[in-house]
Amino acid sequence: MFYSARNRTIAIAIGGLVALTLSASFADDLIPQDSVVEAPTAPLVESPAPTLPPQETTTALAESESVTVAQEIGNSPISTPRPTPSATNSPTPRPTVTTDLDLLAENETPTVDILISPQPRLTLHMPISLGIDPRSRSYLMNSIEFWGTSTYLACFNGYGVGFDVGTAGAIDDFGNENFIVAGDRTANLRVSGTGAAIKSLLRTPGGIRINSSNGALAGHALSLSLTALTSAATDESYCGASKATSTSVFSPLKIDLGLVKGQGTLKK
Amino acid sequence: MSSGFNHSRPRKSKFILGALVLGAVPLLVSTFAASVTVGNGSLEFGQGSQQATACDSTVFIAMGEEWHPSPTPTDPSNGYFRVRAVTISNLDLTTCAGKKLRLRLIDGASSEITTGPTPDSKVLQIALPDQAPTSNVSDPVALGLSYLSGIGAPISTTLLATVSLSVSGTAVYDGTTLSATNADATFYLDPTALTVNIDGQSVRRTTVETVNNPKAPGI
Repeated sequence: MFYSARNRTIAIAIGGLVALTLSASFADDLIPQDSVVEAPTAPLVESPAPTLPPQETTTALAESESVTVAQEIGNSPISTPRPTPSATNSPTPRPTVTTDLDLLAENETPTVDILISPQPRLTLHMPISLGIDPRSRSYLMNSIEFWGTSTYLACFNGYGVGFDVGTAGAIDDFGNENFIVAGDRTANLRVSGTGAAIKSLLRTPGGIRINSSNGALAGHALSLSLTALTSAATDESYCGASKATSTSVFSPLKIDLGLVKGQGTLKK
Repeated sequence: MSSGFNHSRPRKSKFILGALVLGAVPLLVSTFAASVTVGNGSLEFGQGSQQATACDSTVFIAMGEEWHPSPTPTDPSNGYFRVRAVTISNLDLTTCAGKKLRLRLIDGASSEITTGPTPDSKVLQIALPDQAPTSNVSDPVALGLSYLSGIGAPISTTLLATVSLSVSGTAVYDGTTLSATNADATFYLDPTALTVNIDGQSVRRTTVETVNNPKAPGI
């Protein structure tokens, strides 16, 4: 009996260890890996035609929501709540004379949240699939449409692709433009400005070029989210507050390059 | 009467065997997971037939799209991305000089898509200059822009398309610097977007052809 009980205890212990190992292994499989390209894009690439739904464009519609600023921030990935301007929040009355030191302090810690809440209604269109030459490693992106008069932060995320704004192969300085850019030549591009300014950048011949980070573009994807702000900013934490997000996948076109003989007329 | 001791050895063996089998499961799971991940990265490259044109074996295709609104009573934001332009890129105008260049768009049912104002307009054609130009050309008459039927017969109809043959600037396809040996031939299907509005999602195949362009005797 004593040995039987001991064996049972050993068995339970071994079983517990095995269960722990198993759960850890499954957890490894479930946790998203660094290369986020593979999971979302691969199924669409292998059979692009059947996966196309009847709807021809991805449409993201941001509805107005009656949430407070605090709730909005709480639901977004913004890690630290931003203080809202309120005189009553200050435990000690501030002096009425503003010193240079005070100005410096105010500049260092923004007291006004520029995130609009609730986010205004916004319609964003992007093609579900972008037909490209199967050999293509580069694509000039302008198939984006949205309507809105606000100031936005456009967050482009590439899955296996990077974004190059303005001059090809260079990190541009857009100091004189009416928009600001962060993340040029990276997979996380952020452009902020008025809706018209962002659109004009997209329509520019050298606008936003998408380059594959490895091999052909086909099979890779990009997503765009738009966040309404009160003033232009490229803080990445605002990207998560967007209610308008859309994704496009690069699909290879079949191409035929052929020679056709011209019709000749016989001389009589 | 048997004691517990007598049964302990077979039981121990069973426990050890069971533990080993259970311990191997995570390894198996990991192996299968790795296989799936590797498989997901594969891409079937070069679908469809790819033949070289006689004058240039390395031309590329780039399709430009733009939003085309098509509001409905229930959805005022309805619409689709129409094919604004199709560019044949990296074109060598020295080796292809004097040839006719034809473009077709084909849908998922392998049918030619109408690219002009009449249903039989299936092909867009230009005649490349006999000598490589030194500046961009966008005169549709000079480039002989025209519609053809599926079998290549000329069609007399209103020309809605425009064309641009670019030898300077940056290539639409890859942003490289254009030249006479790396030119862009861009067909704009209907700049007014009033008549020829092809949904970009319907285009599954493009065809580029070069055709000999014999001159009439005495020319």
